[in-house]
Amino acid sequence: MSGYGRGVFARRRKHFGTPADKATYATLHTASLASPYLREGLTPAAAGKASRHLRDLLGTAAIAICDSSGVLAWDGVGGAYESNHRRDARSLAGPTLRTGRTAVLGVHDVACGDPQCPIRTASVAPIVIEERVVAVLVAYSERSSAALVRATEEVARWVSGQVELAELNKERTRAMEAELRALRAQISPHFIYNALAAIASFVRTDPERARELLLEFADFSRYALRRGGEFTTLADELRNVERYLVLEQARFGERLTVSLQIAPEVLPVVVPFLVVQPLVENAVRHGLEGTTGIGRITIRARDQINEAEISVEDDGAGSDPEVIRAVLAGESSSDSIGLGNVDARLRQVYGDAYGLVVETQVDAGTKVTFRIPKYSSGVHASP
Amino acid sequence: MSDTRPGDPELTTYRDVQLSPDFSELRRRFRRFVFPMTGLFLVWYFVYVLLADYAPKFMAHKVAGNITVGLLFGLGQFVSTFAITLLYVRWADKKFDPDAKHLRDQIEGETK
Amino acid sequence: MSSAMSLTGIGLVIVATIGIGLFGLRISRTTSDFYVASRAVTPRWNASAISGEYLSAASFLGVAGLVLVNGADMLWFSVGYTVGYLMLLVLVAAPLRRSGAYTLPDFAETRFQSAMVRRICSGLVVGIGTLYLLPQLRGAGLTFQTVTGAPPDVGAAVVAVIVVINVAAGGMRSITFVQAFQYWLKLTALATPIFVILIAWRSGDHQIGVLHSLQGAAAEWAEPLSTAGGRDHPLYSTYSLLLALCFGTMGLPHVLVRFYTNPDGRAARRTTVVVLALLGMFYLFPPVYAILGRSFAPDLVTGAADTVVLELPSRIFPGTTGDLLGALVAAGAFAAFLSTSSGLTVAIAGVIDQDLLRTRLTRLTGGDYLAVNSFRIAALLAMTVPYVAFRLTGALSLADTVGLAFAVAASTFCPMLVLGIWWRRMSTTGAAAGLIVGGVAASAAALINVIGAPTAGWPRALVVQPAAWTMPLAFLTVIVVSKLTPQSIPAGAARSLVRLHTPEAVNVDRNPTPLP
Repeated sequence: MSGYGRGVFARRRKHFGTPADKATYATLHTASLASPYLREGLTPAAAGKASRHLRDLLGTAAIAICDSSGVLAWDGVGGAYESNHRRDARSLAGPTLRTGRTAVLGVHDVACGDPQCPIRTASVAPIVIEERVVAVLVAYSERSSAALVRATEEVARWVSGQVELAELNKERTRAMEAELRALRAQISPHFIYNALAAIASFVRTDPERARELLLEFADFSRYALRRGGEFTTLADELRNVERYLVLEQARFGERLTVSLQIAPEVLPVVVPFLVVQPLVENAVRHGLEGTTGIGRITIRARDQINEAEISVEDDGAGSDPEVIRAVLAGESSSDSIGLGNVDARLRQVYGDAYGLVVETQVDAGTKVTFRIPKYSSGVHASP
Repeated sequence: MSDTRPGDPELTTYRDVQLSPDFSELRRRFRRFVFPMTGLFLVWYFVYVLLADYAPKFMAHKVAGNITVGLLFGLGQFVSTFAITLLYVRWADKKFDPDAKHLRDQIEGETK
Repeated sequence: MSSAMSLTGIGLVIVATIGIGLFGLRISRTTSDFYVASRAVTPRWNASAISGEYLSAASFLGVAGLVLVNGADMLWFSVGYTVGYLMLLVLVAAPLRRSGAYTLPDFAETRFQSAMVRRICSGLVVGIGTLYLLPQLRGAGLTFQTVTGAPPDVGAAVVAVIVVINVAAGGMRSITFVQAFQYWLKLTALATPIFVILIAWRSGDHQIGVLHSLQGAAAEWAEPLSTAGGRDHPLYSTYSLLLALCFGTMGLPHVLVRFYTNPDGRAARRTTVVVLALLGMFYLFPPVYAILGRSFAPDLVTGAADTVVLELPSRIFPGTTGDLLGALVAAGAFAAFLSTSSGLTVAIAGVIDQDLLRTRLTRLTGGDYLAVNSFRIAALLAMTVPYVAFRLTGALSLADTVGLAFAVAASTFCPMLVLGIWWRRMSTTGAAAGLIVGGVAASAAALINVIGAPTAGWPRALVVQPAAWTMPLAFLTVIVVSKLTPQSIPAGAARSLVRLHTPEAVNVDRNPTPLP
């Protein structure tokens, strides 16, 4: 019995060991080493860590991963050769970045002139996500061959697949974050506290006004806390802003001056709800709280044919542009958090071109502008 | 926001609306008014044209001074467009809108 | 007539148009008044704007010219236009608003979920817009020629340049105020000479009498559908034209976008009623010009009939009165070209910008361009094609060319809208097929017309007024192809239709019942 078993075992062992099999296993193993890094997306750090394994796969003297901004990663020969070729990498990658076609570059384009340098040719293959060329994989070698070109293409294609997976993951996370943000936008404890305090101050002196204010507050809350449906019309948004301003006026009285320039043609435009009010709240905070004297807030809505352009401007304390930049990038949690929230939601719905544009300087006021397309697929006033 | 996940309340609302007898009734009433009305006045226009071509004597009959039946009819076409529009607006305001609002409140009541 | 006075009048109109466009918003809208509701575009304003933009060279000059030559049949134009708006209101307006679409390509995209159909629609918008712009340029050339004797190219070039500058500089945003002003300007310009004539007649110190004039005219001219004016097959032609006007209005690019500004169904209905009233009021006057023209400017019947409105005042009142009135009418005519051309250019440029330029510019500049600039380029492109077409084509009656634009709209967008809104089983392939078939058929007819139509008989009638066969053809194509390709019915079509037909909430501020 054992003889038979041993025989079988021995036979299996032999199967286990053909060179082709070994090569396949080695390849798969190397690939699996690279994939965790690529799952993070195509950042310089991730690309750097993955590139070592990618070079293993190809077995070339050096590889580089480039995108339109420059070289993301380099692996292989180092020293002077690296710095020379690294400089040229971006221009070598250019045509492939534009056209998405694999390029094979010969000695004329690649060689650095140093006879000791092992890099003489390059194969450039595109890394494509959803039909967009996002980067290229450059494989440097002494001699080019059809097999190497093919291998480079295959590796690039595999990398594309991994990076697409990373995008999908990010997409899912973004969606969840968007929901959270929408929820957070609805409630501003700072405002609630101050509004109720202002109302309370009127209860004895002017009960009728207190009652009016409470009703405004109720309407405001109902709008802000409503369930479901992400969109509303600009008219409704501005009505809500009016209610908000009435409440703030109870607090600041004559100090608050508001000027409105609203083109009536843009009132029916569908906007995500609570995009204007947080900006006005921000303007009130920076223009009126912590300062004395009159604060002027200007809200403009202009018709730009295919879009509506909305801006909120105040002449208050202004902010350091760096701080604002950090808030918009989601890196800080100052009291301008509303800005970051609105910016993120706008970009998530309409694309990166439609975020907030903030013009500000310390002591020079602030102006926040954004555009909304009149039509965007998938957007309707609910339902 | 137009692609929905299973169990999405938005999708359920639409399905409810579509299947609800009130909604179908509302649509039916709209169609029952609008399509025949549209058909009728289109016929009215095109009959005028026919009359003008095949009954020229009738159309040329002078009513007062130089004003012919045909001219009167022509002006009448114009006036009738106006009248029909006003009729439609009145019907929509008085009959259609309240029913629509009622249906709307119903939908909201269910989803709240 | 006096060139100097007319030119001054025209100059004033140009300055006023651009001025209001650029500064009107600031003047009329800056207040510290909180209340948003009071700012909404009221039906009356919207209607004035729609009417102002709608009344083009064809309405100002062309209708009178047609009535002058062909007799009372041509009143069909007025009737047709008004029925068109009614059709739009009843069949299309409310569902379109609920779809969230701003322009016709937007509607195609949201209903059929297809980029290809969207692109076809964009192309058609540019085509129809061009067909509609062409007669505006011709009318401007004609007016300038009548007023100053300059060759027709000059007037057309003037309008083209001013429109492009105006649109590119942003003078057509907040379009309501601008176009509403244009309506009242045009109405005043057209009506004043008639009232002056009436006063002169009443006070008896003039030889004219309106009724006398009618008696003098050939009897058959006053009868509808006579073959006066040498048109064969008047029955077919009239039907075809009526069809085009009734069902093409909803497909005109600059008309539909105006209904976007109505917040709800009530407002849309009110707006349409006021539009009909305003249009009706306006169309009372061109026939009067034509009737008077028969007696006072009979040479125009076989000449440049389209200039009867411009010529009449100075024919009736020689001297300064005639010059002044002539200047007023010339200014009004120019206002007509400017307003319609601007409105059309804006609509076309908007579509070019959105669908053709944006993606290309992003690729070229890596996302690093200003939205404003892409629109400016689009405005220039929007006017270039019609202007080139104008230089290449010969004389065509203003109203006929406009009628062709209607015919194309009726053969392409009407089936798409009506069937798309009311028929669940319309498929994407069917939509594309209908647009292409209707578009090619009607455009071919338009092209033949512009190049050189057959001169008599059925071929001529079929080509000059194609709507009667191109529109049913398009409808049929959509239905048949949709039935044959059920697999390309857009996913979510049922849900789309529910959304299109579910009435919106009525907007109330403080309301005990739950708000949406």
